[in-house]
Amino acid sequence: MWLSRRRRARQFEETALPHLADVYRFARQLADEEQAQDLVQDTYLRAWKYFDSFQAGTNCRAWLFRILHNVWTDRFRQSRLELSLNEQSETAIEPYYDWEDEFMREELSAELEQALAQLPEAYRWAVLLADVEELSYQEIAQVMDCPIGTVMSRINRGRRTLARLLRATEQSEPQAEHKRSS
Amino acid sequence: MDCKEFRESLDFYADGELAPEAEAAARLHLNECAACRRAEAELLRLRRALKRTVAQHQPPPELVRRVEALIGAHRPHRLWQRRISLPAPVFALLLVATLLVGLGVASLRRAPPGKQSASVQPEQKPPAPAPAPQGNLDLARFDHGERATIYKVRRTQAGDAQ
Ligand SMILES: [Zn+2]
Repeated sequence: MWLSRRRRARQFEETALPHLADVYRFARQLADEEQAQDLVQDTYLRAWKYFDSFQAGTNCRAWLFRILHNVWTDRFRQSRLELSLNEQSETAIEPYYDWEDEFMREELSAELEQALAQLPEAYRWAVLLADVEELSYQEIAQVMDCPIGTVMSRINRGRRTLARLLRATEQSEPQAEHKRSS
Repeated sequence: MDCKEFRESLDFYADGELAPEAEAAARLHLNECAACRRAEAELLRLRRALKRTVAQHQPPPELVRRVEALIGAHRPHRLWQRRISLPAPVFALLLVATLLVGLGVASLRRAPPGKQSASVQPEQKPPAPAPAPQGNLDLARFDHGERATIYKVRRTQAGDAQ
């Protein structure tokens, strides 16, 4: 028993622990530093507890993000409810982006982070899982526990909303500068 | 595929989620349409910017330690296990080498008592010139400057005496 526990720990160390930075960075886009740390810790606590349910050879990152999503849902259930309400009206794919030519300057991490924070959480999840974590739609559907069609529309809407928010941020540059410094 | 169709599938195209035929059609349209190429380029730029933005945060070291401890709590002597388990062949070799050296030293120590002094003091070292019995020395030779000869004779005599 001691041996199998030891092997389990080593497997966890090799497959799950290397993704800690990714999970933290993702959590940081959902919450402030302290909350993000709690989210990560709870995620890994659960991951360790249910590590036997992880199928070796499958995407461990996707599995961890699914747990993170559960932990986050449990903690922020209230904001999740708000979100699902205004999402019902948005299901169709929006074909055109709001951008014509370059809507973004190269260096706009601060603006982008601000825009991300304003993006509805379900959109933020979908866009970050697709663009940053590069998960497949199938994996994102599993992480967010929703149909693939919902994933598609969330990614599509999310990116367009983000572009709009960015444009708005860029247009009100002095105000944004003030907001950041205070 | 026209512009509208392409724009509708742009996200799926960029995410690699289109079926092979649809992807080929999208690529064909991209080759012909500069406006849609720009739209795709902007989407990829947004992606790069998102990656950069998210990547600027680093997990605090204490969080990493806390999570590691969380697992360590279920697994005592983590460091000890790790050090043994990783370089096992090296460890075995070191152990064997240590044993061999130990045995060698022990066998030297356990050598017959007669040879003990010999092993400690090399035989090649000439014994300190002790004052030889006066009677054996030809003082006349010494007077003629034959120091070496005198010394040799004295050594042989000392050896014979033992
Ligand atoms: Zn076009």
